[in-house]
Amino acid sequence: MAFLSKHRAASEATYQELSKQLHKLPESARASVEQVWTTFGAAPSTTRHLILAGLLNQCCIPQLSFLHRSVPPLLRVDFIALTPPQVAFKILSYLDATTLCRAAQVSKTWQEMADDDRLWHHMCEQHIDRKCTSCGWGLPPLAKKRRRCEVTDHELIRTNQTGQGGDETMGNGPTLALEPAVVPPTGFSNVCSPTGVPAIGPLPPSTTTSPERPSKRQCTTSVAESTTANSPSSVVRPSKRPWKLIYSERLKLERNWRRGQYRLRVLEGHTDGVLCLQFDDEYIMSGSYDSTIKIWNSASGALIRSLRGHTRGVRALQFDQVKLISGSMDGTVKIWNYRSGQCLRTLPVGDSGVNCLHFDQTLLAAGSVDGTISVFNFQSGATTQLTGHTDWVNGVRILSSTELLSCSDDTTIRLWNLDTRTCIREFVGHVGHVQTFQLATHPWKLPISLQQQQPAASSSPHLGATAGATHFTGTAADGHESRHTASSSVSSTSSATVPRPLGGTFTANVFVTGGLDSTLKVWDIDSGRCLDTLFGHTEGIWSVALDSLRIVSASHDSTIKVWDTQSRQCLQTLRDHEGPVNCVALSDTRVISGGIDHKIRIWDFGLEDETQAAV
Amino acid sequence: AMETVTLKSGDEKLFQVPRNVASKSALISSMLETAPNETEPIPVKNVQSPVLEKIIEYCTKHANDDPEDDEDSDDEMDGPLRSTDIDPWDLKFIDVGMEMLYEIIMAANYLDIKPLLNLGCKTVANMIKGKTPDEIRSRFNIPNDFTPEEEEQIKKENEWAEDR
Repeated sequence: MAFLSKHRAASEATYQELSKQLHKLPESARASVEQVWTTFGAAPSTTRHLILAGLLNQCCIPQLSFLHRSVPPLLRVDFIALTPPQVAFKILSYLDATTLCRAAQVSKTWQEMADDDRLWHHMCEQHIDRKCTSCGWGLPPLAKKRRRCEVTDHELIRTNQTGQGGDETMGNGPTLALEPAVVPPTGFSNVCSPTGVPAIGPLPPSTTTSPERPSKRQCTTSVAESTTANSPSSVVRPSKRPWKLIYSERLKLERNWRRGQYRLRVLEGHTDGVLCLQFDDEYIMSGSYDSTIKIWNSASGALIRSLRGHTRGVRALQFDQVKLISGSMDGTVKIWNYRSGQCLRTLPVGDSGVNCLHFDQTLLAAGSVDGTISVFNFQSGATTQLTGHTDWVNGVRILSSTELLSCSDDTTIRLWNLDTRTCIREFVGHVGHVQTFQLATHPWKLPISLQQQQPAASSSPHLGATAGATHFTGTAADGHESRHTASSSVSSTSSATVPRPLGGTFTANVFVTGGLDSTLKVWDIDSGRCLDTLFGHTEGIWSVALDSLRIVSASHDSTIKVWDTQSRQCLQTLRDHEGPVNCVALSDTRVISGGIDHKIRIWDFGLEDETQAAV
Repeated sequence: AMETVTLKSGDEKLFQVPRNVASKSALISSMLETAPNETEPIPVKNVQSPVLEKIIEYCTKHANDDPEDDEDSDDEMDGPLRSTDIDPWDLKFIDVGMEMLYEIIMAANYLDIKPLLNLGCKTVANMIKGKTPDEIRSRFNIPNDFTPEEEEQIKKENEWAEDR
C-alpha cells in the first residue's frame, strides 16, 4: 500500500539472522535462495504480488501456518513514528496525562512527541484553575511558584535550548491567562496596585489602570482580564519552564490537598482570641480581642510588628499594597500605613462597635453592632448609612459603585443599591445568625436540579423594577433569569416549570454564606435563590473563604472544613485548634486560620521543596 | 441527475462518486472549485484503491453532515479532547487492521478530511490508553531504543503521573 510501502524498510536484525541461517546451507542451495530473494527485491509492486501469490499456491499447511504467525507482528504500525508530526500530535492530544507520561517511556521518538510543550500547554489549560470537563480534575494556578522561578528559568533555557519546539506557536495570551504575575489574594478582590506614595489625601490612593470602575462584580471577570488589567508586573515575560513540569507540580499540589497532606505551623503572639486575618505572599495580618493588629512575615511566620491604637477587639481588617484598614469593637475604623506602623486616620463609625468592613477604590463600608452599614466615599467626602438590618451586621462587601452586599445576625443577607440606599434583594434561608459570606471567583456551573427546588428571594416592594432589570441583564446567567428577577411579582413556581434548553447545568453568579445554624449556603446573587446547603459542621460557622476549586469554613466546633466547589462535598476536616475557629483565609497552597485559642495556624499544602526555597 | 466526479486511485482504478461526496475532501473540493469544468478523472496518486474505497464509503455516509460539525471543536484545542464519544457507525467503519487504519489516517490527512482524520487519531489514541510502556511497544511493534540507564531515568521523571 502506498504510504506503508514507502516506510516499511526491512529489519536489519532480521536480515542478520537470515544471513546466518543462509550460511549454514550448502553453496549451491545458498545461491538459489539468494537468487529468489534478489529477484523478489528487484521486482515492481505488481510483480511482487504475482510472485507471492504463486508462492502461496505452493505452500503446504505448516508453511501457511508459519506465515500466519509471522505476518501479524509485521503489520503492527508505529503510528507516532510513521505519521507526519501534526498527525502524531493529534493522536497524542487525545491522551490523558498518565498515558502521555507512559508514552514518553516507549521510545526516543515517542518521548520527543509525548513531551511536546504544546501538548502539555493544552493539558495545563484544561486543568489549571478549573475542573477539566473531561476528567474532572482541577489544578491550582500557583502563580507565586511560577513567578519565583523566573530568573532561574531563564538561566535554564540558556543551557538547555532543546525541547522548546512549540514556543513559536504559543501566544502570550494563554500564557498570561494561566500564569498571572499577580493575583489578588483569595477572598479579597481589591485590585489596588502599589504607588509607593504615602497617604496624603483623604484615603491613600489606589491606582487602577481601568478608566472606568471595574465591572459590577469583579468575581465575574475572567482570570485573563483581571491579570492583564491589574497586574503591575505583567510586563514580566512569561518564563519558559516546560508545561509538563508545571503540570506535574500542580498535580502534586492538588494531590496534597486531596489527601490532606499539609505541614502545620502555629503562630503565637496574640494574647487573646484572633478575630480576623488576611494574607498574601508577603504578609499575614491578624486582628484580635487583645486590641492589636499583628503583621507577620508570610513565608517565615516571623512577627514583624504589632499595631496598637484600638481600645477594644479588632474584628475586621483589610489591606492592599499601601494601606491597612481595621475595624474595632471600640466603634472606630483606623487607616494605617502598615509599612511604618503609623495610624493615618481614625474614623468614628456610629455609636457602636464595628464588626466588618470592606474597601474598594474610593469606597469604604463598615457594618456595625447597631445593624447599620456606613459607607464612606473618600472622593466626595460623603458618608451614607444603610439601615434595614435588625441585628449586628457581620459582613459587608462593595460589589460596584452602586451595589453592596451584607449579612447579619438577623439571619438575612441583603443586596443594597447605594444610590437609593435601599435594599433591593433579601436572601432568606438561614435559621441562625449569618456570620460571613464570600463571593465566588467565577460563575459556577451547577446542576439544573438545584435551581428548581428553591424559591426565589423576595424583593423589596419599593425596588424600581426597571432599575433592577437594566442592572441585572448584563451579568445574569441567562435572560430568563433576569426577566424573572425584574418582574418581582411573578411567582417563583412559574420558573420552575419552564423547561430549560441547557443540558443539565446552568451557570450562576454565586456567593457562599456561613451561619450559626451550622450550615453553609450557596446563593444565586441574581435570582436571590438559595441553590445549595452544605451540612457537616456540628456548630456555628464563623468564617468562609473560597477560590475556584475549594471552599474552606471555620467553625465553632474547632474544625476547619475544606469543600469541593463543584461537588460541594467535604474533602477534609482540619483539626488542631483548641477551641472555636474565628477566621480563615485561603490561597492556592495554604489555609490560614485564627482561633479563640489566641493562635494562628498555617496549614501548608505546598510542595516540600517550595517551602525550603522560601525559608 | 446528481453531478458526479471521477477519482483515479494510485493503482489507476476509477471511482465515480457524487460531487458532494468527493467534496468531503477539502483538497478535492478546492480542486473542483479552481477547475469546475474539468472532466478528466481526478488523480489521487497517494491512495490505493482498497483504501480509496473505504474513504468513499465514509464520505458517502457523512456526505450530508453539517460542515460546521466537520470542523470539529477538537481542532480548536479549546475544549477537552475526548476519544470516547465515537458514533457507532464510525466505530464499526474504523474497526480495521492496523495497516488499513494507518492508510486511512494518511489518506484522510492527505485528502484533508478532518472528521475522518479525527476518527482515525481517536482510534489510535484508544489503542494506547491505559497501557504500560511495554504494552504499547508490543502493541505497535516498537523497539525499545533506550539504554537501561535511560529507561530508569525516564521512568523516574514520569513517576508523578502514576500515583493518583
